[in-house]
Amino acid sequence: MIRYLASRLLHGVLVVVGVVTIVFLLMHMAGDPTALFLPVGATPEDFVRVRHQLGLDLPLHMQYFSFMAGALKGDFGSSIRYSQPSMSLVLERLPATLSLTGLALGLTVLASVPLGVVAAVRRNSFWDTFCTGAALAGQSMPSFWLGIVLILLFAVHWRIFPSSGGSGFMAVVLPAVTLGAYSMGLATRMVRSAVLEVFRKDYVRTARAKGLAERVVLSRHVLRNASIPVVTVVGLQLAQLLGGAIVTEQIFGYPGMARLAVQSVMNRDFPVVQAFVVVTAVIVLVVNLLVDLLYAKLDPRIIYQ
Amino acid sequence: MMGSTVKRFLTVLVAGSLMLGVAGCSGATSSDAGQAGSTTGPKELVIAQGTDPLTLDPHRSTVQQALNISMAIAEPLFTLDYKTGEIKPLLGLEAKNLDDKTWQINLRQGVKFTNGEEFTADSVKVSIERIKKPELKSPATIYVRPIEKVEVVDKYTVKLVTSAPSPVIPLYLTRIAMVPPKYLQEKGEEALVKAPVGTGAYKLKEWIKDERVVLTANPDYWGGKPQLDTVTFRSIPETSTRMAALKTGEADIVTQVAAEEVSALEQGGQVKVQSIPGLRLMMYQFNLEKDGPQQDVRVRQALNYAVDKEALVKNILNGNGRVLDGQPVAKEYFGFSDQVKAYPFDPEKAKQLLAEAGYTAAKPLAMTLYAPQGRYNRDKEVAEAIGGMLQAVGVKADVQVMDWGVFIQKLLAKELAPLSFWGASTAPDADLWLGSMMLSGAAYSEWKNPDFDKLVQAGGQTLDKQKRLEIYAQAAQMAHDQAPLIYLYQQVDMYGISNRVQGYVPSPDEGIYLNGVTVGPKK
Repeated sequence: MIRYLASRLLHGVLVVVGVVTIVFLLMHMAGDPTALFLPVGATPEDFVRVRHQLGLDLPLHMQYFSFMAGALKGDFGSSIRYSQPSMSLVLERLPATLSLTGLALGLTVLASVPLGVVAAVRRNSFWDTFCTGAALAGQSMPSFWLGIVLILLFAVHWRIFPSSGGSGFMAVVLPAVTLGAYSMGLATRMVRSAVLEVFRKDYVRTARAKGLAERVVLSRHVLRNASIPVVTVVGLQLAQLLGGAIVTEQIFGYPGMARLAVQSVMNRDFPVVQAFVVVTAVIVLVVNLLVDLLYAKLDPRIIYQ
Repeated sequence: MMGSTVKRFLTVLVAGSLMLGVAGCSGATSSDAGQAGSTTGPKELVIAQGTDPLTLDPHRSTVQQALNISMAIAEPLFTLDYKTGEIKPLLGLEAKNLDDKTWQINLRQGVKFTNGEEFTADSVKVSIERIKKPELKSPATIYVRPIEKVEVVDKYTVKLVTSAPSPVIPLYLTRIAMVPPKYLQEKGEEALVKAPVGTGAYKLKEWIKDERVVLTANPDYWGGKPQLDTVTFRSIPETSTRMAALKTGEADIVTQVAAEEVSALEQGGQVKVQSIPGLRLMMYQFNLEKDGPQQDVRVRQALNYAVDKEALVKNILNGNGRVLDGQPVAKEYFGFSDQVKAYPFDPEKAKQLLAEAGYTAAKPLAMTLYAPQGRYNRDKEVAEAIGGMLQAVGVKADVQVMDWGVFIQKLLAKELAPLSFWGASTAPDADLWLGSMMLSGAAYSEWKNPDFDKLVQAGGQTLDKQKRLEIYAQAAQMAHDQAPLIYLYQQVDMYGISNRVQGYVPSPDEGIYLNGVTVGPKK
């Protein structure tokens, strides 16, 4: 188990280094931050001076090695726009993004399990059509559209939630619903098909044959066995949600790290983008590891060595 | 069969819409979103802008949205009255020339920073010299560049010595906030980023990054107690969300209203939209540092005739623009010439000039028009419309649109030729605009004309206002005739303002000035 964990962690480090390298190259190919940083009226000498101050006049490989050397020590460089350590800019916005994605993930589970189970149990009925229809709607609505519709209905029309911002629980709800809609849809369909799959198994027939109540069959035999594919999908959805936060935070003016990342990409603020990528990659890797460990808990036949 | 399909479809539809409702309600625990109105109580104004400040240090940004906050806290020496074009006293009472290169400034007495420090000549010296420090990496150095030395004459008098005669010093001083020297000494240069201190009418209460900056009234303000108790600047990047905040009453003033939102906002009579021509001037620039057909002045003039500026403003911008007068700067800038008029829309004249330059239907002029996307109001659409107008006079126009980050890099590398589309705004004086955009070798200039350079330099070093205007009138005429730019329009900025706000006047520089603004009770 410990060997397994160690190899997974080592693997994770390699993945992070790879991701950071790719992002470093892409960002440096995509433009020069000084052009976006200096005001109109700056002289060509100003550009040379600022480029030098930022170390952007060094050859690319030198910039890369100095960045990597710093990153290993936990120093991801100073933001070009903010002139502050880039990692602390990202980390101070991380809690907001985590509560947004956390709530979205929570809503995903809360909505998808009952809807999926009902759809499977009442297969081909009105309820099945209703639940799969809802799932399909959740998956097919683009988040920028859904976000604006939710703002118009729940903030402008009914005045239940604030239209934007990030202060307090109420402000997280609309963004979380917007962000989670796709995952809710996907997970609902996943739960439905996983439950249907298990329904066909011999042990379920046996359980029914020995006279167990349908409720007991469902809770004791079906749900537990159907949970592995569902856990996989929900785990993978976290990466999807972190990516989706980029659009959602922008629409709702939500003060999270994904919005910072968007602005940093647009302004070619390399250090902040890199810090964001590292944080995101680490979160995704950790969650994937947790999901794998959870398998062993759910299914005793799975043992990691 | 048909009936059951329809039924199934309807069920799916209902389910989808219900899901929206169910999901939306699932988190509702308390009754209201914090916008309970009150009829009396503190006077609170909420302003929603598109961006959050990167810093509250007024010396580390030239972004107006950030300065709107940092310069409500820390004031400059003077302020510009856009209505009259006059420079008005603030912390400085008067600026006068002792000789060509020396400005003497008398300061207001008895003013205190909100940390208790007194505002003196030393504050002016420290503030100006601070911007020049290389380690500050201040983008505002453009405003202090002409100043060679700051001398403290006595506690309330300073002398600024410039490297050459510099008429723009009072204007530049409207952009430089005064900061407290002792505070900087004790807390370090970084302190102002998060905990700014100034002499202004408001002081910082809290700053929740990317969400809101809350200012409270400075009760000891030298100009009397401010009319507002708190002013909150919220940052809401998405236009439609910003408009929603105005409709719900979460914001009282919103910036950058989109033309298509105006009627929806004004519906119900709670909000009015005010517009004002801004300082941002939109042009197509010929790259004259590169060879090509653009080197022929007839080609440049022809293209000026070929573009129907009025139609662009009316049809693409929904009326939210003002056609430029065939010269680099607009009315709001010092140095505008009312002698120079816009190139009229005259496709026949354009065709004739192109023919004279040797371009015919058999051998048409081919031009690539570069434009950024998502930077200016309807930039891509404007670029495409201009492409169409040029095609109508026989130019084979190819419009290339690119992301702003890539565009600006290529523009500064002077790689975009023969034509690139941009909009520039500077402090409203021809010296700064022409000096950055058209002077040979300037960062954004792609024109090299020694005669024009001489005029710009002379204008920048002449202290007499009348003489300066005459020089800029010549420069405007030359820029019109030589046509290194296709003069298009100036952007009009729109603000959505709640009816409870009184006394708010939009400013051409996108500045939000709170003096005289007050609010009525919330409805």
